[in-house]
Amino acid sequence: MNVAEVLARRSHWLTEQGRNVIVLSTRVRLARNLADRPFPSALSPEMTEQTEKEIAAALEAAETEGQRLRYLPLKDMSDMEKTALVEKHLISPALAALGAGRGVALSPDHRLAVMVNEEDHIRLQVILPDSRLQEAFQVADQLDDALEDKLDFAFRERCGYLTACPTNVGTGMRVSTMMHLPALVMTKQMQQVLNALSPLGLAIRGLYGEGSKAWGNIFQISNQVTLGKSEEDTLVNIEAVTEQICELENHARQMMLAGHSTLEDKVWRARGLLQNARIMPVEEAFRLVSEDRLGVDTGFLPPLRESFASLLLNLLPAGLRYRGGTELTDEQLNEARAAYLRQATLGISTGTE
Amino acid sequence: MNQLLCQNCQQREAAVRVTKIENGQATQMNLCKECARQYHNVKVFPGMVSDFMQAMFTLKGAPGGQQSAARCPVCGLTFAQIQKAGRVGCSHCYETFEPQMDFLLRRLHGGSRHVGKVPRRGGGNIRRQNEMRALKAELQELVRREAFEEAAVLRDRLRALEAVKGGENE
Repeated sequence: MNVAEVLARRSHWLTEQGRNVIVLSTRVRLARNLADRPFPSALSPEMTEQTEKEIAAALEAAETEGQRLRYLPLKDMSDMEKTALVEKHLISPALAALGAGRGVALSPDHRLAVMVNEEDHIRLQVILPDSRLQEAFQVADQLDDALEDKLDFAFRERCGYLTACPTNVGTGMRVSTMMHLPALVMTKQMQQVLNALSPLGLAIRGLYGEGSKAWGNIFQISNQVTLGKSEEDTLVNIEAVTEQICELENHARQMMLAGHSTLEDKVWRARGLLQNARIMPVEEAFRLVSEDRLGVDTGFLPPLRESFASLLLNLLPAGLRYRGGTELTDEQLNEARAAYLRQATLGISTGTE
Repeated sequence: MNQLLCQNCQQREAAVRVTKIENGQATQMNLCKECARQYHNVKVFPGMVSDFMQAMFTLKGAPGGQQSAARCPVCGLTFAQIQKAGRVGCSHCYETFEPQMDFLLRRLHGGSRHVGKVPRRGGGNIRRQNEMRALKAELQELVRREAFEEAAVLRDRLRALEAVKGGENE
């Protein structure tokens, strides 16, 4: 099985439509390092490759709930494949920029993705659709146990798991949920949410787009503190805050529905543009797809066949290129995006996720 | 084969091709080994994470300075180098530069000790200590509530745990 085949598989978190219309996905990440050698940034090229070999062997031998991992070295990948992995959230942009001795181990449905020799020796990630924090943690915890049988992890009693960046020391765990919050943005309440979260040691940020702009009204909430809080406490905190933000978003949606006719008009306009436009810049596409989704959630628009998460990914350059199989200029990308969206919103099957 | 010059310094021969991805846009550069190394360490997220971390490392009141010549025996880094990179070189740095790192961890996380998962291997003693700590807290609470019968059960479990703890170090 080569890289292209693994990549062509459908990612669980992108294809399964969750019950929760606001929370798109849940991620749990654990950072681990081998005890007997420097972190990747301080390793020689030879030691980097040696470390890769040892970890890859442990990963491919580990089995959690039948989720066998397949290790893919970065050096075997084309730039397009790397970018596609970044956009699917299976590797980080930082890993994609690094050279030999690095790679990622993926389970068949991509719910498990383990980066090797990024900032830490091991970055273990579980990504699931919907708000499923406990389940995501259990999968991560199981694989961590399986790896621990074969590898010695750097750990100190007082500091917990040791990591290259001191912000991850302790549990080494980062938990996040990805949420679609159009009504909170449209009713200008996001700043309040932001302010309320920072004293809790939690962060919220736009997932796509540059600077303070959050394309598609997609936000990610994650924990900042990893030392002094147990995994369980962190999971419960994020779960509670995610639930509360869902309530706020739902409340804002109800308020908008009270002003019914403008919302109905807005979402139908979005659908109309998506079905007819010939040139579609990325930022506009994210806005319209977000409004369209709000229209589906509120019952004004008929649902689309593709999941919202997958639709968003296909708007990004690599998603479009990977589907087309060729490099495209910006103008061509805008046309390809418009063509893709016409297909997706007119209900014609596009054959891929 | 044509010799390709590094796109950054325009002097040395390019040895690696670096792909930088920002917001899904991939740009490629041919770089020499020297520049590629800098590129990786510094410019992956230009002016972001690394800079904040430097600020954390250099906060006023942080211990250190006098120890600036000390090197970590495993990775060979000095604390000054760690400060500059905003990243620790290896797990032993946490021990080598303990006062500075403790200060930093307090700043970042609120100054507490690790609570949570402990590796099974090599962690047996730590697990036991954590359990004992939890039991002691529970015992105090029971005594406060004057639930002496339950407290007696806990005390026996604590004694049993203490008996196992023979001569092992952390």
